[in-house]
Amino acid sequence: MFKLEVRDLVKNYGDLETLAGINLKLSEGEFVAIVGPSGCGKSTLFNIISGLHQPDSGQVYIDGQDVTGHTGRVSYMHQKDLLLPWKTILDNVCLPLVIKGANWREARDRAAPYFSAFGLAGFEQHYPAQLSGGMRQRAALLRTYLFASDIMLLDEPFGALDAITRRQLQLWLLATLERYRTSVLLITHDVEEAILLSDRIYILTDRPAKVKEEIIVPLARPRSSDMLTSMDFIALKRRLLDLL
Amino acid sequence: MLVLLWEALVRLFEVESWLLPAPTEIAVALAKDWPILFYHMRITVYEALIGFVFSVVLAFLLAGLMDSLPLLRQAIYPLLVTSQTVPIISVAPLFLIWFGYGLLPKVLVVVLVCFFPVVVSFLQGLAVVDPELIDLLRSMGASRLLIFRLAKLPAALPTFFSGLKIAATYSIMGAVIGEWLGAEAGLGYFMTLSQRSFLTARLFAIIVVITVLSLALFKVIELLERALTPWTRWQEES
Ligand SMILES: Nc1ncnc2c1ncn2[C@@H]1O[C@H](COP(=O)(O)OP(=O)(O)O)[C@@H](O)[C@H]1O
Ligand SMILES: [Mg+2]
Repeated sequence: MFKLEVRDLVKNYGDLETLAGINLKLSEGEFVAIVGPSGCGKSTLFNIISGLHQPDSGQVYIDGQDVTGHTGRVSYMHQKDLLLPWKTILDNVCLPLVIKGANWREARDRAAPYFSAFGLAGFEQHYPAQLSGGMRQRAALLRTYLFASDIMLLDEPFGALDAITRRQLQLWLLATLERYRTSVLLITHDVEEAILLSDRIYILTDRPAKVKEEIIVPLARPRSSDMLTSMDFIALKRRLLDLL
Repeated sequence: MLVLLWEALVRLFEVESWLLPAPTEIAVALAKDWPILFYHMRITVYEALIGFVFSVVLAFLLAGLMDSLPLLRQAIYPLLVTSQTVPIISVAPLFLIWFGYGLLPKVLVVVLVCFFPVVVSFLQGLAVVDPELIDLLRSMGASRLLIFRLAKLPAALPTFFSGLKIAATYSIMGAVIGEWLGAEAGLGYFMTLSQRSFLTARLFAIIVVITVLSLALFKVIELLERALTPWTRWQEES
């Protein structure tokens, strides 16, 4: 049984055909990247998996259960950090726990221990505007993790960051995920990011989107930045770029 | 500077004090008539505050409702805007006929001038929140009420407060206008009285009191805003 399975997902917005039968699978603890042309329907796919939008047809299964159209089961992170400017970092991160019914005190007690692993120690009482873009994204990631630690949907989480910060966060995410058993779906347009982070890569076609190709990443774990220049990495990168 | 020039010019040209009193004369009037000024001031402030608080509560409820029900918003918004083209001064005498000389007509005039800026600013504020943020909270399973409390309301506060500040300064003016039309006490009534007796210095003293009151109310709202929206300080810097 798969942690997450998407079957024959179809979605049109009026006359605009967006998803034309998407199938994908995610195993427990697996990291899978989704790469595709911009505007092909990747965010639409996440909106459906997270239950925000209804598909025209097709189903979403989690742990074998049909959860199509139900919100609240997977955690979802956007390109924008979407932190609440009026709440401190600690309270922002606590938000999912509070929405699930915890009171603020309990939520703070549960969230606080994660701050050092997420590189946020000492910034609990700061407001988002006081933090750098990279730190805000880490806070958003911690919030995502605290909502549902078993399945995370990451929609171009580092897309708005500069190249150096982006690479730092990719390496940090690699190291952090080694410690937590989380299944991740990552949307990215950065081919290197997809290879470096994931176990498998789905390549989508232009709109209306279908899965064009599924590629297994042959790099061992734990991964390191040295691999960026290995022969396997470069060969795979060339293949991906040809496909896109 | 301006006050000094004023004083100098009045003395130089020996302007009659019923026409334009010198600042010193105004200060003397202010000091001498202070007890009675204070008495009337309390009444005006009372009317203004009741009207102000009432408009804010009403505006808050209406804006909240209009924001959550788009149909209602579409129906009421044009009405609200048209209502602003009716000059308040022209409606106010009607209140006098309908509600007499008591507290009510003054409070109504205050509500009439304060309500609109608050409602509009609050509505605008509620609309500025990022729809992606709403989606995110929704994907976490937050209820509409919780989304309102966590996201929409705080996002609206800065805009809301700018409307509140405008309304606060209008509120004293509104009460004074209400009193001009007919009253037994209050700064507006005292103005009419002083005007009939050509006590120009006292009239100026009343104007000073009204200005200071409006400013003070403005400042109070500003302090409240600072206390309730501490995060905006950081946003300005970045
Ligand atoms: N709510 C919506 N209503 C209408 N059209 C939409 C909506 N959401 C997305 N689209 C359209 O669907 C297409 C795919 O969008 P999206 O999933 O955001 O693409 P991607 O994330 O791959 O860049 C785009 O052409 C977009 O304009
Ligand atoms: Mg997208």
